[in-house]
Amino acid sequence: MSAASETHAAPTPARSRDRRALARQAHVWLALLLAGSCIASLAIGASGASLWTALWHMASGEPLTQLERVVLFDIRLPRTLLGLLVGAALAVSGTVLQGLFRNPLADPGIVGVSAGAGLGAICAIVLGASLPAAIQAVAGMYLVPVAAFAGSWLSVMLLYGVATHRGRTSVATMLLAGLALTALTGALAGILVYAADDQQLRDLTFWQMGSLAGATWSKIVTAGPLILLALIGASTLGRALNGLAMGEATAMHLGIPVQKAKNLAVLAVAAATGAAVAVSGGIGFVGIVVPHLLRLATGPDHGPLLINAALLGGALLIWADVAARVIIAPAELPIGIVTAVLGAPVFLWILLRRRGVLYL
Amino acid sequence: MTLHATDIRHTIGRKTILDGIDLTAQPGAVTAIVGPNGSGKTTLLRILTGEERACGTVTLNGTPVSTANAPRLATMRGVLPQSSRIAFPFKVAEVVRIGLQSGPHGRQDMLAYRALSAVGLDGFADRFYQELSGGEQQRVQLARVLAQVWQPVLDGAPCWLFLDEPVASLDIGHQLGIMQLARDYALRGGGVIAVMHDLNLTAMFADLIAVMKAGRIVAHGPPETVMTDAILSDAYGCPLRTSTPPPRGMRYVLPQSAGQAM
Repeated sequence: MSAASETHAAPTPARSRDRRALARQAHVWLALLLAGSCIASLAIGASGASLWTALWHMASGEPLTQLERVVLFDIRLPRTLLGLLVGAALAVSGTVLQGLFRNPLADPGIVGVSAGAGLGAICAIVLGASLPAAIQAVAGMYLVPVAAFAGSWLSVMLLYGVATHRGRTSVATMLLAGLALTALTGALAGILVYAADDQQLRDLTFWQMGSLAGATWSKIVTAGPLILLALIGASTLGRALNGLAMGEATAMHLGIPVQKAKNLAVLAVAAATGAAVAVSGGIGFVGIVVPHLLRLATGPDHGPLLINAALLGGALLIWADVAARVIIAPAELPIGIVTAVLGAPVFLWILLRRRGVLYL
Repeated sequence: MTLHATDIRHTIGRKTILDGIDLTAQPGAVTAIVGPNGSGKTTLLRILTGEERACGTVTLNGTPVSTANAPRLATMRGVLPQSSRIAFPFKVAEVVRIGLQSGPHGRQDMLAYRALSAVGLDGFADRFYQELSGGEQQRVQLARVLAQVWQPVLDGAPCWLFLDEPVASLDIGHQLGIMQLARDYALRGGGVIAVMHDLNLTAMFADLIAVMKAGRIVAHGPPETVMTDAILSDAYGCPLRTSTPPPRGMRYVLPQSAGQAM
């Protein structure tokens, strides 16, 4: 069919290969960025303890001072690791959710998945105390993340059920359903807050502020495995999400086990968002900013995108946390404020670019 | 090594969409499904590809379609839907590559460009899919399907193209080009099943035609036996007249002359 098109230019494999190569190179650059962010996060802080002197002490075999040990190993290191885990979890949740709903506006915070996770966590904090001691002993510190996981799972399922019909998602329904879900979980959470006692209120207040400030090794142990499992699960979804971008029927014709892939996607989002919300409260917009920037830079191919999102999400949240610590030092901003200041304009920008799609 | 559909029945609510369809298609031939709007063509194609479940059995190369797993089916057949929207800003080459990597030739990257060239989209590889016209998008999708089942015969077994109105949004030049492409695929040993609207194109390119009306196949055979005044007029519910010009013996449809004939 040579008479077909006006353009007879030779095929241009080189340039379009660039995007794939670029996405792969981005793995390296983003991993370096993440490593650098971790070092910066360990080095920067309100206390006088210096990472470099501590490293010098370790290298020369001298014992660390008490201050260095506490500040570096019990405060900054868990905080950095938690930032990495939560950032990666939120960014990958956003990427998977967007692939699942075929829409770049799906973010765990915006469509109510974080709110669902939050309700689960509040239930666990307030009602957990009244559970039989045996269950408390077994569930222990996993109670809050598991409840948050259950809450976010139910939210995703509900959202998908409402917004998607015969494999097609309505953008407006998705956003409005997210609004309704957030309002509903907010109301239920409000009722629970009324029922809470003073100690629980303190717990809730600190938790709701959305912060990495309370990072401890035990939080990493509770949320880490769930997040890592979710990230591993999500990383296998690249081809499936690419297929789903063309609709469920085409994905099936491309040989993708659609139902299995959707179930895995929902579970991964629920686990990652649930665990992240359980340990750090509501941190918004990471899930929308990170995949959006990456798609602009390296294209929408979900294979490399999911890995890059984890790396950039971790780095972004670590930097947001450093900013939260430094801007009004020695006090701290809630990190949710920093991510919202960065993320809300990006969200509006995407809305502007897609205005045509949103007129229904 | 054929496509076999036996006693396909499908109802939505109380409405019968397909009412006992038997259809056999051979590789090496273009089988066209024609019929008026709402006669069940697209539903039948969906059932043949395993996209929708129905009563009755469909086997492709001896494999039951309803129980075969999706990856296995994807190596045997590609499916072109009527219209395809893509959620994210993929480039044309990336779309075709998604098809390529779903089939057995995933490593041969150049096939993506050859598939684009085959549908007349040389030089479009780097364009954004969403910025193309409807007809160009349709041809990108066809290239994606072609890249998935590039070899019409693979390890001795035929591969299949299922096309739902492949030329609906194309201009006449591209209509001819795409139908020729489907014909070539069949000539090289593959199987082609196409839902068609244009009866003249169908007459030109189909080896076998199944005419549907109200969920049944009312006629099935080569163009010269199926494309008769009586069968088509009955199926489409309007007077139609077919004829063959002397030199090539090929059927064509003339609604213009129906008034004088009746």
